[in-house]
Amino acid sequence: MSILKILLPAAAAAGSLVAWPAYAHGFGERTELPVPLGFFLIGAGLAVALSFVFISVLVKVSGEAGYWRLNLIGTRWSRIALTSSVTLLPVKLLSVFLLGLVVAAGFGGDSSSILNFSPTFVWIIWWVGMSITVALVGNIWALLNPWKIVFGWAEGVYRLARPGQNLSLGLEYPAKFGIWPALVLFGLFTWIQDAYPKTDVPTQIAIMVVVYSVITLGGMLVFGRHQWLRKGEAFTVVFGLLTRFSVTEVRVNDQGSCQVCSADCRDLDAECIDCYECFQRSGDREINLRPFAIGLGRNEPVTKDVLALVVLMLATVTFDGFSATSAWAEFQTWVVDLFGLGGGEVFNSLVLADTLGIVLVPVGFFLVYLFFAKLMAGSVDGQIGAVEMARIFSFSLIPIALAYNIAHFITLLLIQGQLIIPLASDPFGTGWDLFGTVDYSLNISIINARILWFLSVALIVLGHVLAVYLAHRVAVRMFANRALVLKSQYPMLTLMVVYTVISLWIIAQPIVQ
Amino acid sequence: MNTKKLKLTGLLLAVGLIAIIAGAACSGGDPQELDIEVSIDHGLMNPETIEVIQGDMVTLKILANEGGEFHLHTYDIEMDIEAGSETDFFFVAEATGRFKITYHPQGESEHNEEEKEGEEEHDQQDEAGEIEVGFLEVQPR
Repeated sequence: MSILKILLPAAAAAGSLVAWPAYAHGFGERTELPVPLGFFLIGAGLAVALSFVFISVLVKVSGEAGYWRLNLIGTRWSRIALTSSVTLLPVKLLSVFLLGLVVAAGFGGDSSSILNFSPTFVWIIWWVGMSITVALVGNIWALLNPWKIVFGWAEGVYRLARPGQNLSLGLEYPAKFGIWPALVLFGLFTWIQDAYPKTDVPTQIAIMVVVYSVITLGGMLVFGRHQWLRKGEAFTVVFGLLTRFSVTEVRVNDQGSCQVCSADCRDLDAECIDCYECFQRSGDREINLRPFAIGLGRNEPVTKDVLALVVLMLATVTFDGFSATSAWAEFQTWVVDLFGLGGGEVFNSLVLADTLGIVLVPVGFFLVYLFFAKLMAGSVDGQIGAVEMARIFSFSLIPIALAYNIAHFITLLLIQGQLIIPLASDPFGTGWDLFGTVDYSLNISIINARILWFLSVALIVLGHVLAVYLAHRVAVRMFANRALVLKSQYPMLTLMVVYTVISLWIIAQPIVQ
Repeated sequence: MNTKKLKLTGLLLAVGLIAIIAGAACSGGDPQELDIEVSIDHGLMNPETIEVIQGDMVTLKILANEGGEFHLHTYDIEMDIEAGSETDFFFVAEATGRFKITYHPQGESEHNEEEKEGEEEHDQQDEAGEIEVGFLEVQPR
């Protein structure tokens, strides 16, 4: 961000007018009005005030691992409803069918992004809808992941054909790779979403899905299904992080199954939570309701690669919104002026500008975070180093990003998402009317701007409060001394206020795409 | 737990929420009938942002130097505009938001257009020739 502050005035000075091509981020038009100044100020003020009140109240909060839980599969009927194959199989079949439909419609359907099923389904229903659902409700991706399902079926068939043998080559996954493959793939996905100019072209989407399918199935074939899902399947890893915020968890009590698990899935409190491999095997298992956000405060080591992914996620969520503001448009203008309008459809200066954003914003974000982590390290007399600080507190920033993300995308999901209703009847744009909904016209006044403003600001303030709470919980666990807990939290609090205010500022900007 | 501070927190939250709700409740008076003159000249729209309030009954009086198609996104309103003569268009601004307006100039002579019309329907060229000219902003009432 800091580099932008230098570049933007220069961009403004350059200030020539360019007729921007129709240029969607991901796909779908944003129509929300900027949040008015009053809402912005109240939100920012509340974030600051609540932080300081909370921090003094929270001094009394313990960092113990226990929290309220309710087992949803505690009764026979609920267990059958939630875990038996009779209920799960149709859902899985549908998920695999939808993957096939995206590819088929992408290649064989209408070339217009509005008349084809794939762009709306992939960018709005799946990417926006799935990430919000996973973050709030629970990790339905672990159930619906079509690649996981298909590979599981293939393994079953193979075992029938050749008893005693595994489909997967079962190569040892090199530990030093960590989740870097998933991070790289997610980075590419982000680039496609925010910089690649043809994200709304159906055939391009089909190609991306096919390429990603080959990578994912190949990864599973080489390293085994669960290994690749855990380390290389970008969405399993990303949704796995987001779902820590959600109100549900899966938990395994008999830890015998953890001994044969392909990963060291237990956290530092020796609890096995949200490990779907163990969950599949175990006899003594729970699907629990739990408080929001508590899953982000678990006692677990955060490795370098996970820290990098968290930073990438936090930064790109912000960039997705920032790249639709006029400030960014000015930066784009500046880059276009610098390098000219030439170049191909993909390799041109506009794409270069957005690519710079996708690279520089996470780097800038990391440097700022590291600076605050250094302050925290200093405040506890160097008991813990700056990078270590950055690691252990990284999850606590996620609620802010999540709240912002919902505020940022909710209109798109509610209004443009309705396009899926007519598209479901005519996925290829060839004139079908399977469900009789092809003439459905969008209800574009489904959400009033004033309610949306209220909701957005309230969500972001709430996300901020949860973040402060989580960071405090972690600090209490880390530092025996109450005074150190407090001291360590002032830099963190400042960082969180900055991040929250930036999020609020972005939703107070008119969208210029 | 420190009840005094909890109370303070509650109070702060309540004040904030009330302030936001108060802001949300205030109304902008009755809907109006509005005539708004819009000119489109070489890909520039004047005014660049058409500002109305929810419920307003709006008549856009569009005057363009070049014939083409005026497209108000999401409301999904498309209007054929003839060069040099005013085209009136009426709508009720029911949905709040900030909606993109694009213009697709049709530079070719009249019969050329007719020839093309048949094949144009689902083609990409619709999108290729569009110029973003401005926004319609519908503020909540």
